[in-house]
Amino acid sequence: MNKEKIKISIVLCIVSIFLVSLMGVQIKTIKKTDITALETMQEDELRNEIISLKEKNDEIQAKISENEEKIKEYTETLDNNQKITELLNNEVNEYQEKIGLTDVTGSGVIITLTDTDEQAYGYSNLVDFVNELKYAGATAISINDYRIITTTEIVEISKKYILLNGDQRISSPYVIKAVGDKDKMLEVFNLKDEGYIDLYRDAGYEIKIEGTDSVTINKYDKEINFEYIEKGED
Amino acid sequence: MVYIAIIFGCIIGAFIGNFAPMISYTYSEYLAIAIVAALDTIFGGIVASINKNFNMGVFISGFLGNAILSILLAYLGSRLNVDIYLAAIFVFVGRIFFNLGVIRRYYLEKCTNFFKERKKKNNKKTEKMTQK
Repeated sequence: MNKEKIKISIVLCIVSIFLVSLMGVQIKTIKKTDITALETMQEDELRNEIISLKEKNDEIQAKISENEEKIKEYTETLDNNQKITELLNNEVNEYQEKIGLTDVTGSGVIITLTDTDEQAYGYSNLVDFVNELKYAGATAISINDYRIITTTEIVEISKKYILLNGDQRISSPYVIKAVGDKDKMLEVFNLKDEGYIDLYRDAGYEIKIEGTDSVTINKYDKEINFEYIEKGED
Repeated sequence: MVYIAIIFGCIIGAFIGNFAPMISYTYSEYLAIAIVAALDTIFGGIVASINKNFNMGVFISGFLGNAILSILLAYLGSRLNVDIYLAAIFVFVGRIFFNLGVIRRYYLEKCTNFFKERKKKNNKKTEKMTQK
């Protein structure tokens, strides 16, 4: 056994240690990697795949940002619509209030007319009172809690009954409520000798008027039907 | 002696390789070429030791140089889109087979010589026996 051979053996031993450990690493790597998927694809194919996926990703990102912008726009318009709706609602409420479709409360007067054996009130008296109240600045009027609106008629159907709004029969006592300038209305009605109070009392009617700070007038509870009206030209 | 050393090295190497970390699949290509180069060097070393012209410097430089150069060439090939590593494997494996052939012939010769000598001995023995 010469020295040279020992040297060779040692070197070959070291080299084979190195070699076999490298082989072990390689075998392990290949075992653990999903070769079937990778082997069927060349590197170029994989690169192409990556590129196409990246492109798709970019496209999707662009779409996402686009959609986000759209959503922003929609929310803005929605806000605007809400504002418009609010305004319209306010307007509608205002008009409803004006034409008598809502309950209203305010300062005003309550006139009570009661039939007596001597004198009974007719429909024309009520018309007069309504007229006078309107003249005195009343903004809402009701008789026996039936609302008087622009289309309300006051007609007589018998000696005892007066018809309002088509089918609302009323009889004495008639309680006329009006919202408006309390002082002005009282002034108009209480005018000495010329006012309705004096006139009717002199004629023997029973009449009572009182001013109040809070009178409630019910809404007109039927549908308002403006038949035969067509839109005119401005 | 040489073979015992190699087997011993293989056992230790397998033991180390069992605990070695994994590498990325991308680099396993280069590692494979390094392994082939190392195999080639080992067979070259065995042949040299058989021929009794083993040179330590040539052996070690061949081992490291072949491995590193083949890896570099394979990397260059992948950059240039030319499969240079195929050529490297071709060369290395070709040389491995050549060296294996040398080793085979050497041992075949040794065996035949061994059997011839035994035959001669037997013949001599039988001669002696017949003489007696």
